[in-house]
Amino acid sequence: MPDHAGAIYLFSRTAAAPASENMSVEEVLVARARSGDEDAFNEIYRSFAPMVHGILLSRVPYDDAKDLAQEVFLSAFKNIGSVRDPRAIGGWLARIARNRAVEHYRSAKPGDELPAEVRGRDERKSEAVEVLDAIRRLPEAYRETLVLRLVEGMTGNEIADRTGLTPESVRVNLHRGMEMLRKQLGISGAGK
Amino acid sequence: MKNDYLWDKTGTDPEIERLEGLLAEFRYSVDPAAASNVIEFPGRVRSDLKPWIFSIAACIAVAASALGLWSFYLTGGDAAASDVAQVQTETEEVVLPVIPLAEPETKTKVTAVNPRSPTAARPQKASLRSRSGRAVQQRIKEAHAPSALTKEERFAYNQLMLALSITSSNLQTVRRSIDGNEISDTEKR
Repeated sequence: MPDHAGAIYLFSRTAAAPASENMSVEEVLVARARSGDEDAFNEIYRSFAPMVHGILLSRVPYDDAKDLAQEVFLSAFKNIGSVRDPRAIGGWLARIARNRAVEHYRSAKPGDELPAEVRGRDERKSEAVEVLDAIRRLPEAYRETLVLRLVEGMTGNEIADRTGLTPESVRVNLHRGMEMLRKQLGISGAGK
Repeated sequence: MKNDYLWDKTGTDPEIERLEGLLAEFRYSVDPAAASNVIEFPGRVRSDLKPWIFSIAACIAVAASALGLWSFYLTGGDAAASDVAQVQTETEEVVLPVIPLAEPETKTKVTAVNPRSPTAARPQKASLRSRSGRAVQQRIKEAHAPSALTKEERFAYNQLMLALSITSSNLQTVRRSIDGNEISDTEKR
């Protein structure tokens, strides 16, 4: 289980909302959120916020990712009634996050990538920024999956569950993405 | 085992573990203090208050309707003495000019004076006429009852309309407050 303080992972079935025999946990929460239950939506937020944040982080500066994640969920809350399949709530949120990142990117200043809090810091922090930038230069499918894995600490199965991708697709993205990242960073892959 | 670590963190891979350590500072974190309210919904009515708002509005509507109905039955049944006296007075004023009963009584008196006529029957006829006159008077009263009831009905109708207008305005107020919260959320977006 990834170490996110306070996060409750829906798909581990440890969420507080009880599921009926015919409804999954996600369906129950979405149904409650549709009726205006903010507590239910907050629970959805806690479960999917790492994924949304990771998708945004793969596209926008670090300083903006958390604020944009809030905007994504506020937009999702207002439009929760338009979700066709509550079980695919993760894929729906992922699409909103990607769209929001595109909007932000169009309005963002060019070259504003280096987070202010790490600018001028020690070498380790600069290396972290360099690695993140290298991930961002990867193809979209690879960089999203790698950010969710390496930054947000999600496993392959968790990435598949939340984003709606198949486990096979996630595995391919992780493997190929990691190879490309090694080449960009000049890592020899001595661990093989 | 390297691929397994990348997939599900089984085994070890120093290279990937190092990258994870470097990138950990960019990881999403939830502030534990704000875990109970991770999303600020500015200007929204709390979901736990919405049932109370509708309950209060419903109680006001029911009370207003009950007041109107009570007033209706009050005027239609056990009316106040003053209201009854007023209605009776109005009824008498309406009825009296219409009653043409003085003439029959006069005629009765005239016929009763004649000794040659079968006066024994005449007084009876006179009494019958007065009794019939009272019956006519009663019928006229009943005929004019609709005019008295109309005033009552009008009063009850006004009470009912008042109750319904109170109910309607209360429901509109609640709806406006809810719509106002949604509009403010949209504008802020």
